Amino acid sequence: MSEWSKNELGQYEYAGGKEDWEKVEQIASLCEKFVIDEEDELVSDEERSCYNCRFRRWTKSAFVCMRR
Amino acid sequence: MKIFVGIDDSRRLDGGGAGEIVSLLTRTIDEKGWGKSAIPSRHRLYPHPDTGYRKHNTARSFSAEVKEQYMEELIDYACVMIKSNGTSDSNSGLAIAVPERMDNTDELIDYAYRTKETMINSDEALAMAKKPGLYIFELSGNGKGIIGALAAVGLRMTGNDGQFRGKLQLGTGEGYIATVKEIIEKSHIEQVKNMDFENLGTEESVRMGEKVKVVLLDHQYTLMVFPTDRQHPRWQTSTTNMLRIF
Repeated sequence: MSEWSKNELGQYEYAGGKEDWEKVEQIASLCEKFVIDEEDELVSDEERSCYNCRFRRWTKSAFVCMRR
Repeated sequence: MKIFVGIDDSRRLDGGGAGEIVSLLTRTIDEKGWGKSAIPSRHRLYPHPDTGYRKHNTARSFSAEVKEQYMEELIDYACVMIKSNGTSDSNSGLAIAVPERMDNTDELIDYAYRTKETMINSDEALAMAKKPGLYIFELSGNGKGIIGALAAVGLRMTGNDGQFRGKLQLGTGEGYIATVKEIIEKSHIEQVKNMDFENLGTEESVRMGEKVKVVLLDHQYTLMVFPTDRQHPRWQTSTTNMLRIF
């Protein structure tokens, strides 16, 4: 199954939800566009994680990546 | 008089800054002698699709004791600063509540809690702003920034929501062990709670983690901890991951 699904706006939403900590760390470790967000927006203990990225926008079930 | 200020998170996509903007505003209030500000807090809101795809579902807030004669100057300054940090597609908003002028704070608090659970439209925020003691400013875009700004004010007013900006530094930093008594005496922390929301006694020992964040509970600066499963120290400061509920 793909890690990403397209929403109605054509943007990529993560398919693994909000608790897929290890996987989003792996994705972020390979992502050249990762930028850590402000410290009060961080949710993961591992800094390099999609969940901590400035370009993620939370949705009801997961997040959209604004750089995909 | 006491005021609560809420600012919608309207940062540029690749810019930083919502937290920095609110910190700058609190510093300005203090430096210009308009009053004394408390530490800003970040509040999570409902991730509505319209907001989720473009911006963060968070808003910032702080409380302050300000001299009444400086209110107009403060508002003008805040509006200009927030506008100048936005972009053409941002929907920024500012909200200010003056509790002593409000008939009823319960309606605002109810509104604020609902913004965490469901979608609220700007008409509802505008209707709230007609009530005495509430002032809102649509600063850019479609005006939806007032929804989050007003929510942040209400959530801060509850005294039980949000995470404070900045990190707590105590002793030698990470690994330092302090009693609850020392933590309270040597920092702005007012209480220490475990993740079951039970208060720790003053003689309990806590190991400070790498990034120590403070949350707002019971209207107090609150340090959250979890058990180490050891005799000493029995507690460790909660991690970023654990604190994501705030």
